[in-house]
Amino acid sequence: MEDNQIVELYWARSENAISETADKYGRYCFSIARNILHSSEDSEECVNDTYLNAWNAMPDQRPDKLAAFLGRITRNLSLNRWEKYTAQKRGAGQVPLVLDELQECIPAKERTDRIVDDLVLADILNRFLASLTAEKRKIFMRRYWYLSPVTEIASDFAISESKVKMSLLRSRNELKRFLEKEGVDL
Amino acid sequence: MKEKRILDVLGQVDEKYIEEAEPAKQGFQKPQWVKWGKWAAVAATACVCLAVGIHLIPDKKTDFASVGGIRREYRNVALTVSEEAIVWPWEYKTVFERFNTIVFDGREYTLKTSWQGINDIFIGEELGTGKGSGYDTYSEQHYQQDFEVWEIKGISSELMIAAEMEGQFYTFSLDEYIPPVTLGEVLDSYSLPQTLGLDHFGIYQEGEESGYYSLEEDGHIWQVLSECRDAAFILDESGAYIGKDHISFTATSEPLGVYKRVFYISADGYLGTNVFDWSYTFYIGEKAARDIIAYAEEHGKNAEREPYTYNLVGTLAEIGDDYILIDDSVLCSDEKDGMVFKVSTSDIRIRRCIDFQKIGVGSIVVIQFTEPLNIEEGSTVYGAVSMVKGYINDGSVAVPE
Repeated sequence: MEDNQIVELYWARSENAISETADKYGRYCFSIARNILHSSEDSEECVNDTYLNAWNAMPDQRPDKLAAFLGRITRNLSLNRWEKYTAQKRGAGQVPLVLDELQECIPAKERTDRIVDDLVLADILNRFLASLTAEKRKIFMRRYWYLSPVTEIASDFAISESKVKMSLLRSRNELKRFLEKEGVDL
Repeated sequence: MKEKRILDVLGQVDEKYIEEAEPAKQGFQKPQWVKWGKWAAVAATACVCLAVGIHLIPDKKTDFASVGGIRREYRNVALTVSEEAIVWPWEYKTVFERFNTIVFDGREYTLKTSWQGINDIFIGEELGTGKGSGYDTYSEQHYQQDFEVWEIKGISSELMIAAEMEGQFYTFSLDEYIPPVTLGEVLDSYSLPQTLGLDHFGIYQEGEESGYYSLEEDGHIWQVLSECRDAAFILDESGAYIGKDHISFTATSEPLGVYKRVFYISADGYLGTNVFDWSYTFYIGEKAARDIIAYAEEHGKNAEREPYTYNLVGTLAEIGDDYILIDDSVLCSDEKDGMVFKVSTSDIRIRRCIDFQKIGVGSIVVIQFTEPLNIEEGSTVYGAVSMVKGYINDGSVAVPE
């Protein structure tokens, strides 16, 4: 079923909206949750919560890109759940690794003087992403948005793991420089 | 945590970037890669599961694992692997990782070898000297070095060459997409019957694997394919054949520099492979395809599915000059059942993991290796290519070791 037809089902308050979403995007959402939570049971719950959130959001929202809309909800729910589990010492999955890597993007303190809110920071990240080549951007998003393991990214792009790591390293360095240029204090 | 803020706010970036990077949509610029990416992803997932090795089976107290072919009975634990995105500094790279591009005779070749070099028996005439180049991200410095370039027996040097580096040969292939016109062209340019052994295959029905087999003799298959020399190359960007009934051979070849790729024949008459990096698909006709499938089914013997790479999990018990010892008793219900494996560390690939990840004696580690263990030679692991730290999870609580 086309995305706009699924969105119409939500607007019509048809319960088929959920089953059609699950058919088309269930695996996609599950893979995002699984990368973050490393647990099938928790990931299933996050995916079900995603459907509930989508049900509550439509109407009023009418997303252009349904996959990204759903994926974003799953990612947020999963990261929240991950945070809760970390407090309970149950953290696993890709998040600790990704956080270690992202530490390298934090600007040096002496080069920052601007405290920005999330919207401004998101705008800066958008401009940073726009500055990358398409391939570097996709690899960056796969690692830090989808939290995909490096092995999986290498397979999907049919390149070696070392190429993926090299691309990520360069992008992280570029992001650090970008944030420093903007003077952003995280 | 500032890095957590970056991770969180990344969630709000423009949807077009989220959509563009969607896992199912990789390879937009190179459509031929798409389907192989998907296939490779399946293999990679399997690899991760095997790396985890002893994954949780809630209704069982123990689980069996194969360590390079040796069956081990382990208790029911989950293992989280600390995958680290390490870009090795120049001094920690093997020579073929350093110089991954060679210019010879006006053409640029890139490294094809995945793990190990090529045996001398595949090397033909010396062709001349090529210029290798490499780049160190840390110092941002470019390096160049000359290497002797050799013909690989039976393979056109316009497509592939071998470079001699520190006494070992490595395969480099032309880094251009020049699709062949017919199957015959590929058979000739790469002498496939001689360079590619079709000795293991899986049978797929409706896209699901129904069995994995070994095959002693592949001569008949190459004979049938040589009679399909005129089979036309098909640009198959949609990956439409996936899910059809087919057999898929595991394609590993030292001279071609490929490790566990696929070479499949579908019941409706297609041959496809990713051995040449790009997806090559030919229409060989239903009759030839069915002949090959019937032959393989008749002569195949049940075999154990090989993982992409083998994995060994255990406690790092000793670090010697050219070896390390791994004790797997931590995974056994009774410690007395533990085995100690000796891992040969002949090149820098294990040593650098120890240095960089600060892995010390007593750490839980996962060793990735490419050669099955030979029971008669004891429990020595050869072909180890990486080592990462692991964390054992008992029940739902992660216990950092």
